[in-house]
Amino acid sequence: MSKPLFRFLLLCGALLLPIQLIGQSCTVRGRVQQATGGPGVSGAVLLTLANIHLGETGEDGQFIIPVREGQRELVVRAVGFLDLRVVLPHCTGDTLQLGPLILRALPMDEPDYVWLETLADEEDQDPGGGLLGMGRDFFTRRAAFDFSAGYFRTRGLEQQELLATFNGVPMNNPWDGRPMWSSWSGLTDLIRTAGNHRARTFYPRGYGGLLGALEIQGSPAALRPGMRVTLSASNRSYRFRQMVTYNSGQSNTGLGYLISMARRDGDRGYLDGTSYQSLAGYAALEWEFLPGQQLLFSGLLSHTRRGLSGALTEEVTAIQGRQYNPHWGWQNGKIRNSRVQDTEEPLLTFTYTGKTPKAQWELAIGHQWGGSHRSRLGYFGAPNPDPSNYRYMPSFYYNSPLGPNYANVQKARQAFVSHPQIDWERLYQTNSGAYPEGRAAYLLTGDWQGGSRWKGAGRVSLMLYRGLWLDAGLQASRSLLEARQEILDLLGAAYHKDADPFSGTQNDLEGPEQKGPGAVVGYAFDLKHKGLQGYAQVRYQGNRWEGGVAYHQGKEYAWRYGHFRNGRYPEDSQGFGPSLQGSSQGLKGYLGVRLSGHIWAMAHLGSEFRSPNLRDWYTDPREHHFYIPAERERVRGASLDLHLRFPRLSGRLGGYFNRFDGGRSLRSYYAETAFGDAFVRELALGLGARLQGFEAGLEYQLSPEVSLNLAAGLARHRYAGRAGLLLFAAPGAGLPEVASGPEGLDLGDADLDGLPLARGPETALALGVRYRAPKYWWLDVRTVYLARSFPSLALIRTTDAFRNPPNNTLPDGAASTYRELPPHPNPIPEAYLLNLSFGKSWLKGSHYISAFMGWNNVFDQAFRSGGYQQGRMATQTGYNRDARSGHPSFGPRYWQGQGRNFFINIAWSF
Amino acid sequence: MEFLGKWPRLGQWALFGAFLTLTGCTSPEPDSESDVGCEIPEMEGVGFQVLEAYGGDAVVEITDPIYVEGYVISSDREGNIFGRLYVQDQLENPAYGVELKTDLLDLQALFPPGARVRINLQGLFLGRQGGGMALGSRRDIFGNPVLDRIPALATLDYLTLACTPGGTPIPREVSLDSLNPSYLHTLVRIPELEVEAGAQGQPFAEAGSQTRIPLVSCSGHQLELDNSGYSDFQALPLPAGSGAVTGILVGSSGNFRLLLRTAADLDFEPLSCLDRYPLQTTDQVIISEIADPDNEAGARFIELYNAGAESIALRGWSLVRYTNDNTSPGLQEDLTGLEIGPGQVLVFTASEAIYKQVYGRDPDRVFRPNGPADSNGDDNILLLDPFGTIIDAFGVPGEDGSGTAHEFEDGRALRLPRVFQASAAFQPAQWMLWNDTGAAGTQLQPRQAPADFTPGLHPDPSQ
Repeated sequence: MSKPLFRFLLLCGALLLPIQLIGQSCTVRGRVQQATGGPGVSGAVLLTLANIHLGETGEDGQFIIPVREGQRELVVRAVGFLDLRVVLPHCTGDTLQLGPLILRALPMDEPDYVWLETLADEEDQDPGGGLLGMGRDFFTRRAAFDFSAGYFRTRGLEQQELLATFNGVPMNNPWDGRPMWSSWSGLTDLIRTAGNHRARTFYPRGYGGLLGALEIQGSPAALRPGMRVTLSASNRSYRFRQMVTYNSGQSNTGLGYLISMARRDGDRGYLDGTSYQSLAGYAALEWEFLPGQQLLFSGLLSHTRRGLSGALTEEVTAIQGRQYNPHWGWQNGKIRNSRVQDTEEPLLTFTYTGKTPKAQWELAIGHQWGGSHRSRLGYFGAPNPDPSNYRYMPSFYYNSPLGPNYANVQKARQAFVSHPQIDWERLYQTNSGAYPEGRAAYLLTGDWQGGSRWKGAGRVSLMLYRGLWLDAGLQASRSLLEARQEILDLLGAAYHKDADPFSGTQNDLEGPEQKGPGAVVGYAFDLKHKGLQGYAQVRYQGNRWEGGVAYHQGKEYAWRYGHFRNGRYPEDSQGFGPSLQGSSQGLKGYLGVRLSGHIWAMAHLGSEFRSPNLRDWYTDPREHHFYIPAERERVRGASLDLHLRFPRLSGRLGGYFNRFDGGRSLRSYYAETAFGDAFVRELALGLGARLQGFEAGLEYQLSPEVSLNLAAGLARHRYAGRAGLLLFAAPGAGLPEVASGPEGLDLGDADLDGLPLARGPETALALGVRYRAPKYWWLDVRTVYLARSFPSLALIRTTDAFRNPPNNTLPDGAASTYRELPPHPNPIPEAYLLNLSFGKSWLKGSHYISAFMGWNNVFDQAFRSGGYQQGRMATQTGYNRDARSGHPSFGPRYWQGQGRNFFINIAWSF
Repeated sequence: MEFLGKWPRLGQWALFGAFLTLTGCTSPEPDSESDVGCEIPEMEGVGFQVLEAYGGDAVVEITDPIYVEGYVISSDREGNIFGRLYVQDQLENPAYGVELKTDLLDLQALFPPGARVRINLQGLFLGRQGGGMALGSRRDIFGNPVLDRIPALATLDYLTLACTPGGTPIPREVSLDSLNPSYLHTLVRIPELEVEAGAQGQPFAEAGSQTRIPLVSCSGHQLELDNSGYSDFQALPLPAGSGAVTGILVGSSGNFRLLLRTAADLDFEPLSCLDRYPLQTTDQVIISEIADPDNEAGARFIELYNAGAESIALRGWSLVRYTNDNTSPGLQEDLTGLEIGPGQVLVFTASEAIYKQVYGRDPDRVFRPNGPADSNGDDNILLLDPFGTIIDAFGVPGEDGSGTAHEFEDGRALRLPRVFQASAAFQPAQWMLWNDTGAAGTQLQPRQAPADFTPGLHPDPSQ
């Protein structure tokens, strides 16, 4: 390069990048590389120790920067890597050529491991929707790890708002809309590099959900080549994990393969009796048969078997402690849990990707089968085996209609303390002496949900103009969802009489009344589902601004097919039910403006119409075909984010707002209503919600080693408007006849406006300090504050029928304004937690070892992570009578937050 | 792992140490319960008589480490018996029975009828339920201890299956009039009962409420069933006919009730009591003697004589008094339950104690005062059969006896030995009368008790 040209370039460089030129300068050239070889690191920033920006590396990692005389040190910083401090040799002459600058990869952060398993494991409790540890967004990383202990939900949104894809195949369960975490549960090496797109963000592959999208790519090209062995120990849900991943990378022939296997087990997690066994494996074969054209075949299998616990009332936890789990008992000296979830959902995918500089296209097809079993213990004509049943509690004697019997309160408490678990021996004993001979009084059944699904997605992205892209795609799916209940263990009996315990009617009129092991009992139905969706979007990414508009539309069909002709609904249970349709539409847009070199502002807007989840289409698909025609739910929302990238301060400040209308929910429980007592199915229609709040995730670099960070979520999640409530019950159950028909019993409006939603803590703060030592170890301390979380409401207590009973008589001649205790929930008490993490990495030749230890809730604080109100007391009189004594039998049930828990991980890559 | 040698040694140990302690730092496993086997407890096994001796009528706590074993006789499977379990000491001819109050539901699954169970008594409270023994928990009402149900889980500490197998309890066959308080809380079978006329055809119980169903024996005694309005068979109609009823005897002396386990405990045949014991009529039962002693009004009596050759069940028969000159009847006394054999005599009085003292014998039945056995000599008495027909008559209803041929004031009316047939109309020639007037051919001779009377004997040998 000629000197004048060079000087010209330098001048250009000086104009484009703010560089202070004081005194004589020296030009430094060099190349920034990864420790593990490969291409140079582009986009790495070069700074002085005082954090003055000097320059950036180009595509191949090369850089040329001017350096003042007297400046002795240089800091190289790149995302995903540890900062590198370089001591500059004395500059002789105009230029200084440095040798290659090697950057080491950032060690594995805890969020990458722990929350992923948390999500998969605690599916039934839904600890946090769509929390992603990937990506640069500090707030979501913090929320994922520190806030998830309190079941934080980003923006108050549930998991089903997150769209997940695996190798391009959509992986949301049509039944409840949630991502199918259990499919890849355990294989965290695959998830580490998953693409994360936050709420309403535009990305090429699809329209995304309200919470964004998670794109898991298990291809050899996307992951780090080589072998990686990981060992972990924890006391959260499993004890030990061993994981091995081998990635051949891409060879000259374009072939590459990836194998990953993980095994986890433990006798117990944090809670008693929650055993864990899991074995997962993944194999993928990739073939780049032409440059830019790739085929990927993969097979995924994860088999997990875990013991579950449940939410408990305050009374039970106060007596037994926060690690108590009533669902297990001793059998022959071993722990046997009656609630075991066994999941196995193998997946095969085929993906074809094509890429040119101006276009990308992809076709992905996936086939998944299998399902999950969840076991439970049933009782027929025998005492309830659950030791935490309300009749066995001391509160039963506080609430006795004859008045409290304190002697019995004491006796009941002592008995509960000495018999806290299921007595399996007694169950077997009872079954062997049962009358009639051989009939099961106790029975272990499993609720199976599974089936086979075919999914396909195709998309095309075209670059219309530099920075302007057009994306369009289609997704199609065909699923057969099977649901049935099976006998898992007769517990020593000879047969089970398959009849409804409340009404005595047979469940399977076409089949035998007496069923043996492995038989299907209770209910058996299929849901056939077909869906087709398409989207089209235009997005532009420029230097100063970016924006986009997207539209999506979908249609889906479902039929119920009942296998059983049910004695309670003989005409409406067997065979094909009416076919139902749903549709969805959405329009969203965004605009991002670079306000200055350091601040980007992004605004997102969207409006969607969508049908409810398949789970909520039929009123009670276990029993019959009835349905209430679905109105579509409408969501409108907007968010404004400010992204900050100052030399010391980086992060994001944001505000959001989402308004929901016309949602629905279905719940089952036993209720004592003004119309009668029965096991009911409650359908709420027209549910509205307002979710709004602020998020802040900021990091401040005090020095190259020390940074302060803050993550704050301040939200307000409330119901909006009034909803309608319908009750359904079996005929003859005790409710008026209309409740057993297709329309249900109308309880009137539920006055929900302004009542809190159970969407995790509305106030979540995490303040932390991070120390990163030059010797490749780091320490991170966070204090976390979680507050204003509410238990989920019993909607039935907000209806007119609760406050003003139909026969218009209130107890004791009280006036109609008599309201002794309001059914509105108090927030769950706040939690103050201290979380620590420590990590270290070693590099020896091509062997890279990283280890970290995470300690959460160091002070072993007892706190509750979530809960729900029990809906049993569905009249004002009943509720007051139960609550009045101060020891309610049907108070809210809570999940306990984990006490001091740890996670240790050692990963060895080579 | 030689690269680790570059670490300061302390750091290495610290890391490993932390790893080990943290992995070892698991919550302790809960203690394993020993297998529920059939263990002989360390307590002392006693008989039920100890229990009987322990308590009186008050509620007392049993503090000794003792237990009893017995057999379950109740079942809550059909929902008629709720909140309690009945145990008797032997399968056949039990001497004792006890009620155990408990909040445990579906007892029949764990402790089916016939199972041999052990009741650990230490810590339980003993009291009375009606007249029978009961065990339970303590509740205070206005400072007074009463028995309450034992909490469900706690019941399993006190009540367990014994190590020896059970059997089938045999109900004790006993007739209604020989019920004894010692049979309380045991299984009995009472034959020849039927539903009282007014309650026939009704359901076993009114839905949702405790219902007492009156039963009556063929001999006229009464008993009530204690039926629950929440039982499975509550809506079934009570069976017609009569038969044996099996159940647990509850209540107290003079107010016995039966607890059914199932609707089949009423083992009825289509024969009603009337069919078993048809109403009989005859004209050979006569009023043989009526007494109004001059010296003791309490020694009044009336006597019936069966002049026929066959025994007559006096079911539905009655004696009715027409006081003085009343044309409408006064007190009527039902003779149901009595049977009079050929040549036999039945004596009725209104004052049992004086009669016994004076005559030294028991009457066959005690009537009410101012009735047919308590006449002052100028009343008219009729003997009616079950069909309301007048079989035998003394006096003329509507005509006061004073000064007539049917006056026996302060005296005696005696049927002549030659009379073997009743007479619906009073025939003075059939009678011998002593009174204090002496009119119309009667003897003016007040009679003194006991010398001048022959209750229990007919004909009078001195006449």
